[in-house]
Amino acid sequence: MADDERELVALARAGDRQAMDVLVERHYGPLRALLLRYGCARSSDVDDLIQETFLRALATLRRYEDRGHLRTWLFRIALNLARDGRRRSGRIVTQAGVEALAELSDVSTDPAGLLLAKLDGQALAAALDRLPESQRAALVLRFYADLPIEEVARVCGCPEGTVKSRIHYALRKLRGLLTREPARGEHGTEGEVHV
Amino acid sequence: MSSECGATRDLLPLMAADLGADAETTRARQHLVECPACDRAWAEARRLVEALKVDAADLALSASPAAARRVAGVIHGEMGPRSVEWPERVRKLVPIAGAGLAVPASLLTLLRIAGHLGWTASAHPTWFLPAVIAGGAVLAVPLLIIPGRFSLKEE
Repeated sequence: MADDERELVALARAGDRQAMDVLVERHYGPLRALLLRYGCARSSDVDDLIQETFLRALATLRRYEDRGHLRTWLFRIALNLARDGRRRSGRIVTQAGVEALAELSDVSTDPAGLLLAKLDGQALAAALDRLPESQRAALVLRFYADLPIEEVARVCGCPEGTVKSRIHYALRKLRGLLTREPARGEHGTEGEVHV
Repeated sequence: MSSECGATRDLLPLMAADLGADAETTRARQHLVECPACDRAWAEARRLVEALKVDAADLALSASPAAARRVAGVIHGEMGPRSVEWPERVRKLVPIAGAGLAVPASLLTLLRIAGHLGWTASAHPTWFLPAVIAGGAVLAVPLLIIPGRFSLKEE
């Protein structure tokens, strides 16, 4: 944890509002991106989850503050909360996302490069939502939260090799979904979320 | 997707920022040069990852500071009593200490005034002391009754 962040955490734990504001503003964007692409369709749900993430983090800050990166810890809490939410409510895919994905897939004669160049957030969100949970988590942590592999492994609670494998199969499946090619290597899938 | 040899497996998750110069990466890069199928898969994966990163950047940009502040505000509300700042607590202790000094000082002042007037404890043993205490209390009450001013109760 960076020194200034360590200081901010200590102040926030003592109840310093400004320190808490700085921490929230610093991590709000990455947490929001992570949760939106992990499968929270509505911004209001995301804000609720971020609030809950910070409340849980601050409540148990004493246990954690010297052991690692705050960001990694926040992401882990947020993902656990999002996972619980998805279990309760099932998959949430916006109709706009499904349509965007279908529109991409209809252009089956386009070269892959053109297809990928036309990708927008809704199509990506819809495609990501179809990935198995463990692969989606690894992918969003790596590319949306911009965590290095070892931190992704820490958040997911698995070895780095497993993270690499999940990301590999996730990218392959994602590309298959976005270009309507059948994704190979299905043996690499795990933990499919039921609708 | 084109058939792959599996050499990209270690490279794909890493992508541009994490590509180093270690032996494994060098070996994989060399393999990409020699294997067109893997090279194509690698290039396509890079494009996909770029799309993911662009999407991530768009999402980050669309996160308004106002929304973050709103979330922070809710957290402050939920935190309740925990949200009292240390400087605030210190500020509350200062007037309490002031009141602690003011009350004895008031009593002493009353005693001196009473002494000047010839009212002493030996001359008026029954009512002198209660009168002095009551006078001190009258001086202190305006300060003490200001709601919450001297309370350590957290907001």
